[in-house]
Amino acid sequence: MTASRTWSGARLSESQIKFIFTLLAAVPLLVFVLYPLWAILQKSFIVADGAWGLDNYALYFNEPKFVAIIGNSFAVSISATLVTIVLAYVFAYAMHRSAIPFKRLWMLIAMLPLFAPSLVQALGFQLVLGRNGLVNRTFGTEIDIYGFWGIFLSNTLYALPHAILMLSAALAVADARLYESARMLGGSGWRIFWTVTLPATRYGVMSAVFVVFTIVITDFGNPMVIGGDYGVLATEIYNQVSGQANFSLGAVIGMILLVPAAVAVIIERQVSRRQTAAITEGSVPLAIKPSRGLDAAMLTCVAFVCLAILLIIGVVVFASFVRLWPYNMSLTLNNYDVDVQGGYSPLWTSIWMSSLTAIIGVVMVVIAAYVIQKLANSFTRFLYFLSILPAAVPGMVLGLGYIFAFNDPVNPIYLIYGTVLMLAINTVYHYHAQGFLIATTSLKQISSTFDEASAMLGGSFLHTMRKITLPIIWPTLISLGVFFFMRAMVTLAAVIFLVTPGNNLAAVSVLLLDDSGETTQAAAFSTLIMAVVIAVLLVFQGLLRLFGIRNVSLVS
Amino acid sequence: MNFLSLHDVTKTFGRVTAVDSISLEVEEGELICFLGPSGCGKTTLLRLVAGLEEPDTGQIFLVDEDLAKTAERDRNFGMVFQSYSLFPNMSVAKNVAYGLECRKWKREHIRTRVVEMLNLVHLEDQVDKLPNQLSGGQQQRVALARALAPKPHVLLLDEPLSALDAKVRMVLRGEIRKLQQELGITTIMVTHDQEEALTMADRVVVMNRGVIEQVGTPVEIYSDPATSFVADFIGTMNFLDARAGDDNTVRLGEIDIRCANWHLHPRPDQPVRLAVRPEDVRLMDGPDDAPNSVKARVEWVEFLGSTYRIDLALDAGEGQKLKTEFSANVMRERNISKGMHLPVVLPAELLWVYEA
Repeated sequence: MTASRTWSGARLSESQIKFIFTLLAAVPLLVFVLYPLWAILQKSFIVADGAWGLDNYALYFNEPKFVAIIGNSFAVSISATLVTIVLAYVFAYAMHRSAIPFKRLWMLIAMLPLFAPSLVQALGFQLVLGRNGLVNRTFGTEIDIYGFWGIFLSNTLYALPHAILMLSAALAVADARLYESARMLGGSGWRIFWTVTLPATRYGVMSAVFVVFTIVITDFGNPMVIGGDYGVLATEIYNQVSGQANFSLGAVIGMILLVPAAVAVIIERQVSRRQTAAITEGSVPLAIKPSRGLDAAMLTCVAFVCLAILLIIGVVVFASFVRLWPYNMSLTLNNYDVDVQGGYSPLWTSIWMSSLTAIIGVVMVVIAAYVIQKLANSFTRFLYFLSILPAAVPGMVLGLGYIFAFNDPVNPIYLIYGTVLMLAINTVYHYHAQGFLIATTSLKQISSTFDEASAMLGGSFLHTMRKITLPIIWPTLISLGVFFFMRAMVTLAAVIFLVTPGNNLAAVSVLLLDDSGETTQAAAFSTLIMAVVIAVLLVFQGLLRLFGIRNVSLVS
Repeated sequence: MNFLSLHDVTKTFGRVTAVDSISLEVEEGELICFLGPSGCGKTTLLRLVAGLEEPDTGQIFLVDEDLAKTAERDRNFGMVFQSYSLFPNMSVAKNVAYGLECRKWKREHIRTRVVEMLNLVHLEDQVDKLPNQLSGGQQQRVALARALAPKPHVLLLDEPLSALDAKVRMVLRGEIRKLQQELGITTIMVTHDQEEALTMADRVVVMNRGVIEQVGTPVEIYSDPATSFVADFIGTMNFLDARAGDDNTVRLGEIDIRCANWHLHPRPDQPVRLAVRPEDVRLMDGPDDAPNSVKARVEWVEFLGSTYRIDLALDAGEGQKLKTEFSANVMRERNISKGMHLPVVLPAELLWVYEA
């Protein structure tokens, strides 16, 4: 009787395979997340003679103009966050707690800003309310949208879908028993809202507040287009680095921007951890009853929000077919005959880069999630920290960090510096946290006893992954890939420092076209980006439907 | 030589000792049951045998081979999990074939073996279904077929019936036992359900807090519980507070009761626990001063169909309670009703004495 005869027959032992996988997860996180952050930190503290010191920070804080920029950033971010949260709460409430018609359509419209680079909202507001905007030209008014109000409006629109998704999740679940007892006790509608609904969703609201704040304060595209003289931290980094070639000051501003973003992310993680226990096993789902007054009010709000989104996105699409906005409004296809900034090549580069990002992103994120979940030890806890760290790192900071870290012939990564691959890797790690969390959640849903059952039947680590884990989670892999593709198509902040004239990206092209006054061509390029994103989304959603997968949403 | 033996196996999780230096011999072809309340370490012990956990100390042998160096996947032990754990992406046939594919069996051998196994569990007509299209009982049968297909040395069952409803449980109980005896496969089953253990097992291992309280046949552990824990855990048992007397007796209040089964050697007058099963309490036929007779009053009568449950309050021993069970016939003959006086006899050979 010999039990030790092995039929799993792998050339590598299980522990060797586990070691290799740990390396595969750890090395890229160390190189592409930790090292660039270390590089920018170091750069911000290194003074003229190469020693460490606070001189760069002193230089920054002694300049009133720079200090004012911090105030600007906070002022516009806090205002945009508050308005976004209120609008999103009303919107999500209408979706889940009222009986208004066409919910799916409203939701679809509200998600539109996700499919466009962050500068498209600003472009839209510029076309409507800008110096040469429709309003000023038509009515002879002199509305000045550039500055605080422009950033505030466009970022509110930009952050809205994120907030709506988070608050929808919070409002989608409710325990009818609570509402019944509140009514039995004689509570009015308002009172029930304040005493039951709002408290039940408070963690969701707090999470959304911090996520939206991070999105707004780190946003680069919108303030770049419509910020005018109203400097914010994200644009000032760009000015210092690209305009003045003042890398040290750029690093300092990056570190300053990192602080509020990191604090917001840390608080958000703490809050979201508490959210889970809200619904217990005995909960009864809430049945929505029509209520004429409430439904009418809700429908008005929802229609207003959707109209605003449609107007701003729509005006960009419309402008892309206009000869010379707003002087010659005759329709033309000339704007699609892009003749500057490398013509269509940035779009192809973007699609190629986004595909690479999707593939690399899915592989890296799944490996990281798998290793961290299966081999829970103190090292993988550190890897978990590195995996979600990018959520706290503004794109501008990560991009700048990549310059400091890899634009150096001594570093082996320099071999791919300036290539599409570098852009893809940068984008993967920029969005690593979100992708990683999706993958982790999905892996958690697979009972760990599948692994044990497979092992008891003689399946090796790799065999189990190939035959059981991957076949179960492939719909999630598709949605992860689409997530990375979408983000890569519209990303601007991190890659703005890494593009080269030969490897320009579509979103960057829009910025440059707009900057050089080619507004209608910028609009055309924006429209193309949105078209590609939506097309990819539709194709893959259709593919999932074809395979009968209905519970995986591609918009997350 | 024993087929599977555990020597001094210990497993701790943090500060909790789940399995505390357990030694056990399992014979070839027997069905042995680990029985105990939740948290007693029975599942951990099974997982140690499976290789899903590594012991901190101690050894596990299959015949004469130390399994320490053999990973779970190379032990060739079949396991059925509490939650079935059928692979949801594979058909019934694919699930059963999985272990055979891992062992690189030839395709035609796999096909015939799968058919053979599905016949064995009466699921030949469900070959192409996915697990979620099957009932709980059917899923458990597939899990059994999957575990048995690669001809394992040992079959491990982790609470295999606990997720099923009572009726299916009864049917599967018999089926598993029959299958196990036909195949003559050495089987370890974990359960917290004593009825399951008593009806299915050749031998039962009663566990509590990481240690073995008693190992024995179902009849042994029921009729001769080695510890008061076993006496209490298996079936229903009355415990009466008493003091040790002279000459194999205990004093229950003012009465001397002779006892045949002693699980301690008490000092005179040491507090002890006297244990008797409800069905072993007899009605008194003879004179009032017959040996081991006690006076009692009927406190509660509960009709259970063919039997009645009677709660008695003893005159002796400060009114301690005694649960008893009498047949409907006896109830009629004696005309027993609530409040009446009812002398009973505690038969010496059916009394146990444990440490207090």
